[in-house]
Amino acid sequence: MLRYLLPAVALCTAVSTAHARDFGLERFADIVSRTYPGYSVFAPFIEAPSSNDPLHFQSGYLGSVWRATRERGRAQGGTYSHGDLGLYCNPNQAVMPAPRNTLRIQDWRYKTEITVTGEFTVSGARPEDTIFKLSAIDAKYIKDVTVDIKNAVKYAAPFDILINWSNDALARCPSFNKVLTSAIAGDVTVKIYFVAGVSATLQFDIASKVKANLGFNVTPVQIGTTDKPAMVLTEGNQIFAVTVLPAPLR
Amino acid sequence: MRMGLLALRAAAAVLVVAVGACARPPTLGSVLKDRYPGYQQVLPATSVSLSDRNYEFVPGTIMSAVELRPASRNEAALWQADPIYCPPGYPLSDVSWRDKSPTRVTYNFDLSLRRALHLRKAKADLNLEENEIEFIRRVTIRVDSPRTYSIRGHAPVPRHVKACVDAIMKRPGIQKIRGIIVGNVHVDVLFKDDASVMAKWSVANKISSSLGVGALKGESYTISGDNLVFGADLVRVRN
Repeated sequence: MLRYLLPAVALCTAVSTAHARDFGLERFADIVSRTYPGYSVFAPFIEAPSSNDPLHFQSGYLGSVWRATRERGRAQGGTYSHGDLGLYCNPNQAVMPAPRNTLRIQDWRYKTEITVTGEFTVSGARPEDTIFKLSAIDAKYIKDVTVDIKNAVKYAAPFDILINWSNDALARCPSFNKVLTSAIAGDVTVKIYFVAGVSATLQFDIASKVKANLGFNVTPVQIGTTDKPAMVLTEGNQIFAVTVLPAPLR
Repeated sequence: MRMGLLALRAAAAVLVVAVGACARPPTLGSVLKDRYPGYQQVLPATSVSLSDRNYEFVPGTIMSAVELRPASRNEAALWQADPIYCPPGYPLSDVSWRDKSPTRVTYNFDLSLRRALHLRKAKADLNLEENEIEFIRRVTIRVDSPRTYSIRGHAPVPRHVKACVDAIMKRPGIQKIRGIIVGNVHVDVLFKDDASVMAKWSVANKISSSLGVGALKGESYTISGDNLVFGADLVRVRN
């Protein structure tokens, strides 16, 4: 039972917007798909398992099974959102394979798609849509967001090992529908640039929401000036892209 | 006199088209095609591992792959390497390797020269709109310390796990890796002075699809990776 984990930490704020589009994630999914064809964004990000997890409680092991839903990117790619349910099941002998360096996403920039009055400028947008899970009311204070991912590494394992691991997990969680087959992790830095004049309190409040919605634990740090206010969030070894196949693997 | 003028114009047109067909802006796919024939581009690009028996790019590996762009007269094919694979049971250090010649390819987008060298073709090769190509001054692709690993000829005996091969052969699009090409890859894009920051971001994002995403630094854009597996010799495996 201990392996049935509920990583509900700060992930469940989007229950009421489960079917809303997230324009920030849609765009990020496109750049992830272009850099790592076949991979989708995993949101919220999760810390990659390490040797500090002897009981294999942590999420993100290859061969783990999930309840996850996929949203399409703007042009290509997609996002697996696990925040609404946050349930997964690890294999008994979960071991993370050796990481290999891969390409990094460097200073990817997203300009918000809303007007100063807090309305989306994207065709087909609805009031419940979001930008990185922020409502238009909050997002109207954001000028743009950059994402920089250093030390990107890829985790992959031979197919027979993935089948054994996932079958082991499925034996205990037969209703789970997706298998995590590969992951890309890195040190993620998110910089949020605000429009001039936004108060420090409001900056911190918005950055804290982004932090919670991306699954970060760090405290946002102010880096901008009065004319160009900005905050930065940095979290190491985050799984941000995955490949997922339907369970059981065959 | 009039016939002579027409003939001269026709000859000039043929010459422009001919020169345009030879001179094209470099992409990683065109560098592979021209300088390292037999290798196709594979993404996501991954660093090399010499000792790991489970490394997914050891020649002899059977893997699931999707062709994103077929080979053309100008470019090698582009493949998406899925993380579904069966390694051959030996590390990359057991495979014979050969040094290859380093490469440097530069394409200048000087306005008058570019028009003479067939603008439409330049746009197609870089996958850019006409207004976007106006921002670029120069593209350079450099490959240092390239080497190939291949199982053609002298090769270790593969010891695939039977359960792995049985499972993967039920899937479509299975390929065998016969060889890989590894090197330090650098792509530099120099923008014109009057290009706006947003124009650079937009163009840089589009160009990056040839290798991944790089760094935008002032007037230039750089993509680089060391010891990257940037190409593979793939052969279809019949199910």
